[in-house]
Amino acid sequence: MILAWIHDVVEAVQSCVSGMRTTGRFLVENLRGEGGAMSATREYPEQPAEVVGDRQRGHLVNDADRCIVCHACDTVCPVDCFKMDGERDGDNKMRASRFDIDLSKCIYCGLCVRACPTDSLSMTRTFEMDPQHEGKRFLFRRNSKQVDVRFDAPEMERLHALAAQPREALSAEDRAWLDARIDDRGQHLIGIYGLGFFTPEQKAEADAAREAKKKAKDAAAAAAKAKAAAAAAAAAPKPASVPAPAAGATPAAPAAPPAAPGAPPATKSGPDAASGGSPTP
Amino acid sequence: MNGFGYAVDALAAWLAGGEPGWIALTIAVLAVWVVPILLLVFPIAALGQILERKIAAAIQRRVGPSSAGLDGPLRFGFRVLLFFLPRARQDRIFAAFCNLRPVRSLLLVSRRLGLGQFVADGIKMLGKEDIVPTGADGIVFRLAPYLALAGAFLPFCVVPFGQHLVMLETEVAALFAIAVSGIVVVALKMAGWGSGSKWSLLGGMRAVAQLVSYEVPIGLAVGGVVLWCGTMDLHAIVGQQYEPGVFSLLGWNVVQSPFLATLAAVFFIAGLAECQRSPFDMAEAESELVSGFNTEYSGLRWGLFAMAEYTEMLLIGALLATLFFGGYQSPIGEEWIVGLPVWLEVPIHGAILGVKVVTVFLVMMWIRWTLPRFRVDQVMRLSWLVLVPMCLVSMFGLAVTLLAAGGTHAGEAFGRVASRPRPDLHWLGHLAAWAVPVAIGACLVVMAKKKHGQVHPALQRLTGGRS
Repeated sequence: MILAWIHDVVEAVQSCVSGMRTTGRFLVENLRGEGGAMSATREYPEQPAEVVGDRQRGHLVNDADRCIVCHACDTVCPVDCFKMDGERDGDNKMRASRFDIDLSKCIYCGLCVRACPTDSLSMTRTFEMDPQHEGKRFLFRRNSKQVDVRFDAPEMERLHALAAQPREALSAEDRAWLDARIDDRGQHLIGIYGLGFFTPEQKAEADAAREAKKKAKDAAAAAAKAKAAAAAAAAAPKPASVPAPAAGATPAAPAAPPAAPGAPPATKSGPDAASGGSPTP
Repeated sequence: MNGFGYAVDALAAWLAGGEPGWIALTIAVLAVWVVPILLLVFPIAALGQILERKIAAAIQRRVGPSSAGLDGPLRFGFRVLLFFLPRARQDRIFAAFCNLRPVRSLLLVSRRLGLGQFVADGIKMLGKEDIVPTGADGIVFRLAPYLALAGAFLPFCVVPFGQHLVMLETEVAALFAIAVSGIVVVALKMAGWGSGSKWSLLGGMRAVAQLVSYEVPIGLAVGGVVLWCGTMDLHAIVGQQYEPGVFSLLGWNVVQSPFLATLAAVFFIAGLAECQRSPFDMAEAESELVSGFNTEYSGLRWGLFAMAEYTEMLLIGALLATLFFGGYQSPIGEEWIVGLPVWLEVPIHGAILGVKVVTVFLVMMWIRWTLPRFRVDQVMRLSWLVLVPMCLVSMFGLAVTLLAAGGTHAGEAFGRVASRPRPDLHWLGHLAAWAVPVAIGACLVVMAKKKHGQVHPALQRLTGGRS
């Protein structure tokens, strides 16, 4: 019995020591910063975080030059985070005079991006929302009235120009003007400067994505058309009038509606937006 | 001599310019004991929490508190110091001060270490609502945290911090420490009972059962040291561990005999249980009892309990160091410290004791984040069936060693480290005191292993491949 007791005690000591050795190794490794959390943890606000995955839904931004104020996004939005006004420009095209995305409401579901007929809404891959971050490009509500503050195009230009400069370089007047609109301490985020701005890189990225998407769509449409033609040819020449539109409509349905209204502005404002977009930011 | 230690006597005499009256004595006691202990132990207990969180994080491969620095407290300090200036001016001076390169890097380091966390926690705790539940027994409920804190602090009276720094030099110091820390049992029971909640009551009962059980091995472990040293005076016990020369480590009780080393281990384990630390934290088992006797406490009262727990950890560390690890003496020779003037000797000795205490503290944390909690019956079993027999065997072994040593001899007196008579062991005797018990123990372990378990491969080879 005594031997069993001794055996128990020795076992207990051995298992404790082995456990302590494991945790001790963790402790030492961590303190040295090799392996483990100390090296793997990225302390996000201080250190930049990586974008994970291709379909990251970061900021919701609107490329105002392409927007036709069709309210498709507004209709589909589950949380009603859009506020927009439009006006006719010289070419009698609808243009957004105001496009506010209430980012404190937005749930980043991306439905509006799908609904957008002109691909003017898009989601960036960066997700930096920290008002303390250097790229402060966000608008905050200081009081409830300010949600309804309307920014027209020149004001947006000014806001963006001022926000890009270091604060110390601004004149007192500019600073006061800016302070009335941006709250660094961030009570209530209402949008990325209303009309939506891209950084040049984001702009390029969005344009490239749009191009790729359009190419894919065209390819899909061409393939569908070829398939439909082949099917029609293969079926029979006699009931040609009835199945041909049906066969053409079913596979091409997702591609057709955006192609019809989207084609003229896409082709027309594509270079237009690129030339208009680059000087703005 | 008023029994409050040399430092108090000297200060009181200096204050009164002759025979000290009670006013001078009170001031001296406050200046030497109360204020320093409050100023030292409270922040240490608070910093202990930071240390614990950082160590827990490192063991669990996390980062831990890493944002709250000392900027806030520093800014507050500037506000207070420069109260006569307008606020913008204060801020500008503060910013200029923080921009100094060393200050900035220090602040950065403090932020990485999360040093400001305990200030934030303290303010949070002070700001919380102080709730006394409807069903609670008001007086008992309110009194309990103070008693717990008193029970944790009082034993520090008899812990020698340095040659001149013992608050209460008494012949029964060891007994006093054990007896007074028993107040904690009452306090926990009061907290459990007074809360008027079943979780608290269960936690309190568990706490009492556990603490009472573990007072036995602690008492026996201290008894072993008392048997070896022939005195209960903690300062004398420290003095007895004095060894002239560079290898003053060899004078420590823990290396005198394997039985004393065993007692040190038992004392440490039972001490863990006494402070309700994991793996013995049944009394506040978060997962079963919603933190037991703490359940109904909030704000400052809860903070006092947490403080009592950390203070008690410090106390166990201090007692362990005093009884087994040479107290405030340095492991690398004592003469160079003893000869120093008092104002130099006191902080050095205090720092050495502090290092020992903090080491024990760290090991306690290491254990806490390694071992899972015991079941209730396992805790009892460990105390009564393992630790107590170990203590008894060790005491018996110590008695035999003392008999074999045949008498004591007075050590060399040096400074105020009064060397008490101690067991007279030749170096051969020392060797035998280690070799014989270790050999017997090793034999028993090998026999136990052969009979009940897997034999270590090396041993298997040694014994001819039979298992």
